[in-house]
Amino acid sequence: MTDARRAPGAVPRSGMLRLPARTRRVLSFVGVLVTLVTAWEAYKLAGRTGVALPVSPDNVTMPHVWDMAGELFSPARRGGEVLVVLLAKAALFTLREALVGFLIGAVVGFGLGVLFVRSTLAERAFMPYVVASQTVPILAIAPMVVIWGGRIDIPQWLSVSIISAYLTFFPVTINTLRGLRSPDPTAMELMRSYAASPGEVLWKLQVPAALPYLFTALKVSASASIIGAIIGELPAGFRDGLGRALLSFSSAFAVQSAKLYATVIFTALVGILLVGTVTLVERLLAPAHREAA
Amino acid sequence: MNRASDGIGRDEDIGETHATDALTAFEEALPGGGPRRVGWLRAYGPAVVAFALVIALWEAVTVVFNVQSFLLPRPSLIVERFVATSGVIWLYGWHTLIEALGGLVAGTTLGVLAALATTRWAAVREGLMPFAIAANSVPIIALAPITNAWFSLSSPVSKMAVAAVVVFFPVMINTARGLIEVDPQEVELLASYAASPRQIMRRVRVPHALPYFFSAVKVASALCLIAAIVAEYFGGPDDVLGRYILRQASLLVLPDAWAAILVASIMGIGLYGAVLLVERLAMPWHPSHRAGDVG
Amino acid sequence: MSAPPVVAARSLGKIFAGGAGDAVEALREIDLEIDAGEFVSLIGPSGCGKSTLLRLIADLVAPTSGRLEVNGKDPHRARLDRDYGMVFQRATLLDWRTVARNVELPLEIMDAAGRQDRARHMLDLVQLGEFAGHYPWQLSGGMQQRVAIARALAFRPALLLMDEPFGALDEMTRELMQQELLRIWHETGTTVVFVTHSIPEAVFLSTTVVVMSSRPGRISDVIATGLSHPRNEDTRASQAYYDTITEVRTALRRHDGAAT
Repeated sequence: MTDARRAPGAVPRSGMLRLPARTRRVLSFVGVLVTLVTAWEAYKLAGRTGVALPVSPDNVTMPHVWDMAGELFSPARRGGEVLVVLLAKAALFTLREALVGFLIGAVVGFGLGVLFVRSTLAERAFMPYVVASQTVPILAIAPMVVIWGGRIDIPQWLSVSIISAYLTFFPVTINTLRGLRSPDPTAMELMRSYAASPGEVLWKLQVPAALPYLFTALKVSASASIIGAIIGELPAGFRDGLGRALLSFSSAFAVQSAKLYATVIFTALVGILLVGTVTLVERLLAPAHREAA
Repeated sequence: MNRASDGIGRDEDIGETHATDALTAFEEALPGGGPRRVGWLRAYGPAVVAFALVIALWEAVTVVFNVQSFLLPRPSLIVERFVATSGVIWLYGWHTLIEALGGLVAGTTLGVLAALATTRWAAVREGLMPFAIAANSVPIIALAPITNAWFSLSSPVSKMAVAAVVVFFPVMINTARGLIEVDPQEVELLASYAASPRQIMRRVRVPHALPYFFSAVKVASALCLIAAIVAEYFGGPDDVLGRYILRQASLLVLPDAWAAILVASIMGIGLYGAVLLVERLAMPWHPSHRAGDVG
Repeated sequence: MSAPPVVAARSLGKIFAGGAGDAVEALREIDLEIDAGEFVSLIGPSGCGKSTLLRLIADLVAPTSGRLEVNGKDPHRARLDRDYGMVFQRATLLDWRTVARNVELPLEIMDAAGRQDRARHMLDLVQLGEFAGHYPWQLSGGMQQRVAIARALAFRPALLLMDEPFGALDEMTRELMQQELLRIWHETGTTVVFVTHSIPEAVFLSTTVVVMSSRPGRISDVIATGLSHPRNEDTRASQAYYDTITEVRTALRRHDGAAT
């Protein structure tokens, strides 16, 4: 299939690499994970030989991998619930905030994109504001937004959702606009030859063409929304959520570091979960796109 | 629209390259299609004007309605505090900048090395790419507490490490893309000259990859600064911008917090400008730098 | 037999205002009549305005002088009434729709009933019935163009406008497609206006070849091909075919030489 396209300079496939893409992906994950775990333990072993290492390989700073696994199923606090459950609840809390913001931002972004394509006037009038909105480093001011929101009696979770929405709407607007404008002129001529109404051109040609661009933006925004949510949770006052968990387990590092590692892993999983869901939705809504060989 | 080649295809969502695609998309969305087409003034002009208008409106509203400074500070007050605290905030800014730069340099270097490795050895590419793409969905900032623990809370290295990881992925993925997605005919040409893989790398792949590399570094320059500041939110010495912002915000001394943010923005713009300068020096032949280029 | 011509142009002209201040006179004083059921080719060197003329008929571009009637109406009205179907050089099928749904596209916009059956019928006409459920990228270039033709004829227009539709295909596929097109033309009775670069193609397909020259674009000759129907491999080997090709070639050379 693609072998005909291989140029002399291209790296040829051999052996294991001939397996189908999905299998390769799974194997690669497993491979990297195994490598990481091995490297971790090897590093600790190396430490025993007395070599000076940048990160201390003692059992507090770098617990054994199996110890960490064990910690997951032990109570997080004396007589409290098991760590895994605690983290799952925290993850859900953060995920909910991020999701609300993400969805709002996505809808607003898409709406703006459609508006700007239909009305050049609206684009000229509002695009500068959209662009200017991005000069504010929202991640850096996220805690401030939450504190400030608290002062004017906005529920905390809402402030966090606003941050996620803010992080989402810009890439979605830009990409929607780009995608809506992506069909080539011949396709537009074709629609004109059918005397299609602007609405028909939008929904039958432009929006389907824009979907790949839209989903690209959504994937990036999904990840950004989670980050925004966590950062927003950092100021004191949040009892729940991953941000709080990261902070409190961070201060308890000297006593039980495995809890922090577990939290970080959970955070990573939440990110992957959200982006993975967006990818899944993409596969459902825009399945016609060809698989790269 | 489809660019499939050797393992990096449209279908495998290349997370961080989307950031650089976003950079391009952003420029295209500017009036006229970006500074390359209609010059800096016409492209960024309206945005600047809009920004100035917003500031003016902000000032007017806060004065007219006598809004309390802990709710919404006047821009003029922010500027006042900016000047008044400039000794402190620029010093703190400098500390933060060091963290960001350290991360930028480390992440970029490692990213380029990884990209070269993935080009040379298909096994590395097949192994590392999917992982890199997944790592993209991960809130890397969550590493901050860990690096704080590893490298000691008071050391800038802990923040540098976070910045480095944040920078590593876009640089690696984009540079790899640039190195790999060369026109097969160029490679065939050099092969007909019996060029070795190393020569092909130098003469075809590297020049082709430079625009992708700089695209990524531009994005990275913004990311590393934010990463450093946000990493500071997780703890550390007080004489850095992030902790200062947090402190002032918690005390509801908002004008001072905004003044510090202003420093961060200025540093960010400066960093971006420096990257642009280096890009221009390294790639004087690139069409984007030619005068009067009409798309 | 006193049916009005499907296309009637009188002193038609088109000037494109250039951005830098130089206007381009793409067409000047075009007089042309195309009767129902004809197969007319427009041939000429680059810049002779043949594509522009096609787009004027299609109301994708407005004339700057003269008169143009399509199907007895103003071209704008003809477009709104969907009196023509158009095929471009690139098939321009929508990636995200199956072949069948691509053919249904104009029918959807016209809100026609029985679209699926109609689309099916058209796909059978171009002999791609089994590919109804495939996606465009799974088809070869020639097949995609056939789908484009099916789509253009789906709503049974009086007129079929084709802008170098086989230009991107290789020679063998081209000849097969030409044969196919003639068969479809016979079966549907549509009037065809066909823009091409290729002299043999123009002569093989048409009842009339309109020779155009450039700078400015105008009609320099109208040559009736007078070849018998049905046309096939034998036609391609016949003396009359070669003679007509020579006649067209001479006409093209003559007017280009004078223009320089």
